[in-house]
Amino acid sequence: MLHAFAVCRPLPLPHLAEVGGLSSAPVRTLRVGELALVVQEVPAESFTEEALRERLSVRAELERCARAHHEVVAAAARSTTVVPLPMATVHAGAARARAAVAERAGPLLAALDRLEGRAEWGVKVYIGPPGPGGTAERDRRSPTGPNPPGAAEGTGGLAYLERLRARRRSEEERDSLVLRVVERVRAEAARVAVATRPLRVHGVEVTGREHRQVLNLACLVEAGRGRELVARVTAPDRRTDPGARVRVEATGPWVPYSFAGEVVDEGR
Amino acid sequence: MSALPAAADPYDFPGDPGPPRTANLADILERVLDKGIVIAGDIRIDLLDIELLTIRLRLFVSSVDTAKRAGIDWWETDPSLSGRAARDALAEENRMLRERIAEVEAELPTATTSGRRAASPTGERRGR
Repeated sequence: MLHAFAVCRPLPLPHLAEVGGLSSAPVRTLRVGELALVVQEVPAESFTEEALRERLSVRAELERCARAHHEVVAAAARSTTVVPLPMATVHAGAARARAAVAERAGPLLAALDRLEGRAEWGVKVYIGPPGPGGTAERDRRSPTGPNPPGAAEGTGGLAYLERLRARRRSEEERDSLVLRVVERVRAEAARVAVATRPLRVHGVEVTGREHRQVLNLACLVEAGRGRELVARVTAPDRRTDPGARVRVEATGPWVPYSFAGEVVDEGR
Repeated sequence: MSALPAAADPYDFPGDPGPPRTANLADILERVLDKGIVIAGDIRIDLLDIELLTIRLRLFVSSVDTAKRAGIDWWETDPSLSGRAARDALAEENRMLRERIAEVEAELPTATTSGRRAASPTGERRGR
């Protein structure tokens, strides 16, 4: 059984020799007309539906497979433009794999043309807890406020209402900050990127409760402009974010996973 | 940027050729599971073959729990998920809700009935 990783033009891919992939067999390419499919022989018994379901339900195994798949795709991409295939694309044999590629040769070639010389960058925006300079905190400590310092920690009804009000104020502040920051980061990204595409934001299981992810954007960027994108989106913005609650993180360059499918869909 | 040497590599971070290897799992999963081109998704198959699209979708369903713990929950809102996957997810949610209701009811059987008895006369008095 063959596992397929990516499609590219038939060129030498020397870096495939450096990666292990999903089995002990060598990672190689199958020529299909003007295209090449990066494949690896895998043991059929480990890639039946049942076996895959079982293995990939285990987090460690899912991670191992995902990283191995990603490594093969990345190794091929060091030599030429590639269209990545989703993990667990398997074929019964070389003939079936060739047929699958041949059937979609047109859109695949179009995708390679569109992605050539371009890379994907991830831009993620996180918002953290308010710092000591936040309005809510300032108000609570204000000696000129209606209550003496420390009143908000009291147990009376008034203190409760005061706490409620302070919390609402801090939430409103946060929401408006998020809107402004996301708007700014999107605009900066759009000035450099050929295309952008929102990805789903990661949950607190990944980010931790203190830092909520509010934007997860994939950007398709011309080679040579990655640095510019990163510099623009990560530049601190004291005017919008005086309390420094916002953190912008850029990752890349990635093989343009998030734009491969879209390109084919456009061609339909 | 133009001062950088033109590399054979299609990317532009000298000293960091190719996509990041140490990226976090969530970043990788959302790409290798969810993105990329699906080839041969519509191929008719015989019993010895494996229908790729089916596998892919079932993978999603089966790895929901695992990937969810990695912080990714796109299948909850992704319209491209198969009808079967959506039905499965709904059925599972229904089952959990029914279980939860049963638990709550089991915890409060007397409180509920006595509450109803107490409420009824009060309501009548108010009505008068």
